[in-house]
Amino acid sequence: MIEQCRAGNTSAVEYFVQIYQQDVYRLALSILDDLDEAEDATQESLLAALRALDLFHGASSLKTWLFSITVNVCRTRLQHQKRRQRLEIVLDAIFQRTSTPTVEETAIQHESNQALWNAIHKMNEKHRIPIVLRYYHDLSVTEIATILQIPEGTVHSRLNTARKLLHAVLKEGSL
Amino acid sequence: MNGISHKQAIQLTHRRLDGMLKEKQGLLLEEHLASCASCRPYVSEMELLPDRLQREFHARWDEKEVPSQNMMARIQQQTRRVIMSNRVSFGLRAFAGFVALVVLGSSLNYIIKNLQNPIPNSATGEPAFASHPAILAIDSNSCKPYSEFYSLDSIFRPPGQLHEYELIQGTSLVDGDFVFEFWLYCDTSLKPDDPAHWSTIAGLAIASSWRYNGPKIEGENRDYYGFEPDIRMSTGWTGPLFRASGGVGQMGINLSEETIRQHIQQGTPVRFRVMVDSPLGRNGAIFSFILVPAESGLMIADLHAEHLTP
Repeated sequence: MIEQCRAGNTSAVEYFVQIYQQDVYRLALSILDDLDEAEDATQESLLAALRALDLFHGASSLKTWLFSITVNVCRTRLQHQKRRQRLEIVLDAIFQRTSTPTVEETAIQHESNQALWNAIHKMNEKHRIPIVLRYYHDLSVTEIATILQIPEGTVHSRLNTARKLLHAVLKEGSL
Repeated sequence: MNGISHKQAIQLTHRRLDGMLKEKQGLLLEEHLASCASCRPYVSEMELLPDRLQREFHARWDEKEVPSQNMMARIQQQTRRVIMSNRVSFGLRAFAGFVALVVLGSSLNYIIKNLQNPIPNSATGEPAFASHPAILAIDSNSCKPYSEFYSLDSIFRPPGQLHEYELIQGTSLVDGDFVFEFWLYCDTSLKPDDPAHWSTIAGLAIASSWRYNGPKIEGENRDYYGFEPDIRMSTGWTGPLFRASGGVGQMGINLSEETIRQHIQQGTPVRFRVMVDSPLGRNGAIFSFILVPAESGLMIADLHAEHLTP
């Protein structure tokens, strides 16, 4: 399939997109936690992967390689998000604006543990992404290390830190 | 309690959560937890955390995990461009690969052919390696004993001064009362790097002579010998020219190596001029020959004589 995609075979490229789009979208959504952003990131990641197929040499699985691209795309988008958020805070302060949660968001918040969720959101991405990859995508430490291009020991260390932080939050809110 | 500390027990718990715990470490942890009341609650809570997180994540994202149809359409639209781009890129790479293969194949073929059969020289039909001979030397097979020429049933006989040498070819030309002769002969003592016995073509020399057969004439005389364009006066004298007056010049091929190689490569003749200035005017002959490269050295071809042009 990879060779066919490289050669520009339409069917092969469509098959590639169909096979991986959901995994990529799930990953993007879990990192960005924003539907529109996740869709854009999915599109960007899949297209980037298709363009860069020549660089895939099979050192890892195709899915791991694709996840690696997606994480990088999402990180870039997170940085843009942060800039936008900082700007919004400034604008809110100037115009005394307040945001109201949507009905959907409110429902989700009620269903889930808000404290835990807030804690996850407050984490910096270097701790949050490993936690998401480990507990939402069920990836091993080795796979996470490959995707993030960091040593396994570093992944373990970041997971430790994140778990301790979340445990402390849950402890505070009394499990 | 066993040998591990609380801190170590916590560390091992985290390793277990990441699937990195070895069997022996697992036993040590269990042993510690069995006897440590302070660690057990922490480890229990920590081991519940993954379940809690998984539930939260799935509750949050699972219902949204199918991308919208818009996204599908956008990706498909965009992938068409990527497909075109990949096709062009693939085509270019394939073409470049094909060209590279053709060049490689041609080069290999050329090398193999050269190794097996040197390329023929278009001018002479001789092998190419000989058209660029490393050393300029006469083909020793061209050299024949003097006696062979002397016994020829011909009025044209080699001059006596070449008796001790092997000869290649000779020719003559009559110009008025003058006869001019030219011989190519072999002299193994001649070498390009020997100033005392010098010839650019090792082993090759020429002998040229003139003889006057007319009536006695008084006046100033000069004779000249040389490879064109470097023709030099040999002798000048005042006195009569009478029957059997004459002169002989012998020399190696005193042209530069570059000139000789040009003649060989271009197939142009090497020209030697003999001239006599006398009260009769200028008489002379131009002798020319082609140097043909062969595997065993240079061979002489197409030796002939012509009159001086005014």
